[in-house]
Amino acid sequence: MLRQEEWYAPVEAKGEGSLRTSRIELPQGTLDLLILRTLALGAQHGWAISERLQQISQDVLHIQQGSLYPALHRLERRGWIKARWGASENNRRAKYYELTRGGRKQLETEKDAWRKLTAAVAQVLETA
Amino acid sequence: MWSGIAFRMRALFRRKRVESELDEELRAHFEKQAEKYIRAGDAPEEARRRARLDFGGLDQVKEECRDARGVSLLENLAQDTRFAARMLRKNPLFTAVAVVTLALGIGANTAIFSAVNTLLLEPLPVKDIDRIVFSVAMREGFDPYGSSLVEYQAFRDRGHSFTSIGLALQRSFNWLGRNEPEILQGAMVRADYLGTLGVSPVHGRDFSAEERRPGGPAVALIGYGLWRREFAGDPGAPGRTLNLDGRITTVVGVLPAGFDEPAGAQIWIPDQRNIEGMPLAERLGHDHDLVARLKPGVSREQADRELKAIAKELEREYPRERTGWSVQLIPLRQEALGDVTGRVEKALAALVAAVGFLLLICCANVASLLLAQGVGRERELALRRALGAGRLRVAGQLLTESTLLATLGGAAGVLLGYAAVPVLRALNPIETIAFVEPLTNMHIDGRVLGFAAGLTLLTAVLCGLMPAVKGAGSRDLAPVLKEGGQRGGVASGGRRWLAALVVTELAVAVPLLAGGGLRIQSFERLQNLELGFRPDHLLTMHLVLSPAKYREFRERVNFEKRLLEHVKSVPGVVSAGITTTLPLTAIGSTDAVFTVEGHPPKNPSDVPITAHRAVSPEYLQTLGVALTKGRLLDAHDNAEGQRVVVISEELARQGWPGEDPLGKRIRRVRPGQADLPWMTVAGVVKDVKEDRDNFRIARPVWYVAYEQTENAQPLDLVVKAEGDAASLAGSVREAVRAVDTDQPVSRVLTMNAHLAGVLMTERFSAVLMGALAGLGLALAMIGLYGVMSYSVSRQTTEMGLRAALGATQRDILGMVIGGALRLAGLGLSLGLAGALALTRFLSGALYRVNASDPLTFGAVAALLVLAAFAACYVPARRATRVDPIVALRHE
Repeated sequence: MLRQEEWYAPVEAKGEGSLRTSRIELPQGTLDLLILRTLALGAQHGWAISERLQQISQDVLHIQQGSLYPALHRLERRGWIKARWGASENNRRAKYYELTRGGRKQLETEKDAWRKLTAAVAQVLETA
Repeated sequence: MWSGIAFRMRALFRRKRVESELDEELRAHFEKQAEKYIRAGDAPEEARRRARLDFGGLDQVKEECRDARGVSLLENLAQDTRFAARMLRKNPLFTAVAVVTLALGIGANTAIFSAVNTLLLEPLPVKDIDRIVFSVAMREGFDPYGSSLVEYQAFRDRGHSFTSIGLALQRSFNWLGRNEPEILQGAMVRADYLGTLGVSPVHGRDFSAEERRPGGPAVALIGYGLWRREFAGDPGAPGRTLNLDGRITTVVGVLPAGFDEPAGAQIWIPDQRNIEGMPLAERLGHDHDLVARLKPGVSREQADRELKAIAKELEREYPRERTGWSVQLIPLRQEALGDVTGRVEKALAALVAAVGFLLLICCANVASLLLAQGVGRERELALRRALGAGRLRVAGQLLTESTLLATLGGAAGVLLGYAAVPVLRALNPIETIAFVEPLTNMHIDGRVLGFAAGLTLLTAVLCGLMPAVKGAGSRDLAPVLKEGGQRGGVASGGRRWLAALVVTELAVAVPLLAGGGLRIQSFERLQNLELGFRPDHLLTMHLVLSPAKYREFRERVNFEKRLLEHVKSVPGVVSAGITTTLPLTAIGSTDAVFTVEGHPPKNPSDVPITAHRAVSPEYLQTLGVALTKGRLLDAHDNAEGQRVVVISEELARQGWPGEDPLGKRIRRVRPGQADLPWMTVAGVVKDVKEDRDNFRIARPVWYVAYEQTENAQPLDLVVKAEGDAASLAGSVREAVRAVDTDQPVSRVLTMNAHLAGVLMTERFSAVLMGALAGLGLALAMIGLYGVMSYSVSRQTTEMGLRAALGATQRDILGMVIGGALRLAGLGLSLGLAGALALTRFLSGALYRVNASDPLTFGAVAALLVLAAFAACYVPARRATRVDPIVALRHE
């Protein structure tokens, strides 16, 4: 997975959001898994989530806000995370996201699925 | 699940709040990012720039967040609606024209559907009416007949299609013992009649087995209306009595509201005849109403096939009596509409098609308005897309506008419908035979409103789709933005749409105009229908002599003679006569099978039939029938005189082809009965239109002397007045009373009013179809003018260019008009083909006009070509006058 360097002019990107995500080359749904995992450590606001992901992945994963926020809203709609307004580190209003009970369950399911998938892919890569 | 819904609801209803929260969230992120870069050592300006780059398009992200929230569809809709409302308010003239156009289209459809709803869909007080069929006896070329007992018995014993078969014999009762004797319509019903219809008394009881036996007591069931009128709705009415024809009859029950089968009955008495023991001759009369309930799973077509097969068996079993007779099953609802031949359904279908076409023209007009308006907005739309709106989103926006327009038009149309329905109800041309109340009460109900709503949606799509697809534009925005949306590539794409509209407009207008034109011509010719008599100054009334009081034919003849004497002595009366059936009457018309002396039918299956009228001596003079040969009947043609007959020219042609019929002999054949005496032809008269449903063709008729023809038929009195016939009604009524105070009369009408009733359906269809066609023509012309002039004006630049390159005004005019007329030609050919295919269905309803009448079609085509020509000539002319330089600067 490569750091994404391109910048998209809004006109070219009109209405075709899928284009952007495919360029990141995060497999479909992976971003959701990463967000859930990040939030498993505690409530976070959007910027902190992206920073954290970048940090943990040692700068390999650079999450575009263009994908992050829609993903957060999508997860909230599905009821896996919930949002509340709180004060940030420097006492400004920030929107914090945290896992719901459903979200925790979902995280476990997705982690499982991911492990199985990577193990299977690894298996194929090594033996085939 | 619940939290998901709550989330969406919150997003939907607290849109502003959610939106500002999204703003705040994203701004906070942006600032954090900028701070991060500042901490890393960037200058504030540079930090903000990098943060912005990280972010991508802010609106884009917001739009995706909205999508992710999943309410955006509804939210967009709300936003689009507000925007659309703003657009419509900004262009009040455009809005008004479009709304009025759609209101006309939707209003006309709503009104016509309310008629369809009442006539074809309204529930009637009969259980599962769609499973009940009515049997009609048919003979090629004649009005349909009622059913005979032979048929009833055969269908009952051999048929397998029905759960039950019911039989009724219509008759009227003279209701006596009150100030003004009154004729009550009623019937004698067999036990299975009410059961087949699934009707039972709401008060009291049905007839008992005892009451149905021969010689049973005088009992009756009464109708709801009569019960309310006579007994003030007293539940204790059963047990009380009515004097019917001098027989004191006990009421045993009351039938449900709205039920009046057969034929508007108010009184039902049990059929106490032993029909199994009757001689064949008495069982052959086609005077009964036969209804049957289909077995579950059996279709009307299947049952119809079975009964036709049984009718074939009857032809073999009784060749002399039954040859040429078949049967046809029609739905009971159709019978109740008095529509044995299916004319009402056809007329309705034609009207529905006409209003449908009208609506299509309206849609085409509004679509062209929207298209024209859309051109001015090309830049606006391109800009919206540049700012992140997808093509679907823009198309949705445009569709929302057309939906809003259609909704306004639909609402106005429903109001129009509310105004039109009472007019339709007042003009209702259908002579409903039964279920008169429910079938004449046209109104707007939930079903009609639902229909109007569905139509509104359809309209929105029909007139909005084309502009929406075009407005959404191509994938590539650059040319529009660069050229500023002027006359570039988009314009040439738009021309195709306009061409499609021109073609549609014409293709739809032709069938509408052709249908209307044919209807009007047919009606005009009907108005000049050769009746064979002079209807002016004639007053008519209907008398049913009570069989109890006038048992002997001699007594009936006495009544007739005294009545005519009294009537003729009334001041203002020129002459008076009696007939057994008025010309062009639907119910009670009698036919006779005849044989000509010395000309036995060549083959035994030929059963010649003539309309049969027993008339008093002065009847034919009174009616004003034209004598061509011999003499009319006179006072000497009485019981003692030689038996004579006056025949129509058509009967002369059929009976004595190429011979002089005067003095020749003819006689009536009654199947299974002894031969009736020969009658000598005394005179020949011009053909008289006697048949109601078959008035489009000439049918034979004979007039026999009333006194020489023993019968118990009701009488129609015809009086010729010196002046106004209607003003004589009172004094003629008095003359009837002077002869018999107990004798009621009904259907007191002038002959012209009677005829107006006959032509009412035709007039109604002609007026309505003509009005719709006129409206369609006006709208199509306006639409054509709009589309064409708009399309020509878009070619101004091209014309300027050609003019600059040396083309003359003539060349350019020719080019523009030629192009427009080619389109018109295409539309017309499509329209003519469609019209030819469609008007065929009208052919049965037209009188002396061919369904593909070249004159009508030619006139319609010429009218529309002229309209198309005018529509492009004027703007083209204007365009060619433009200085080429100015035209080119347009660019």
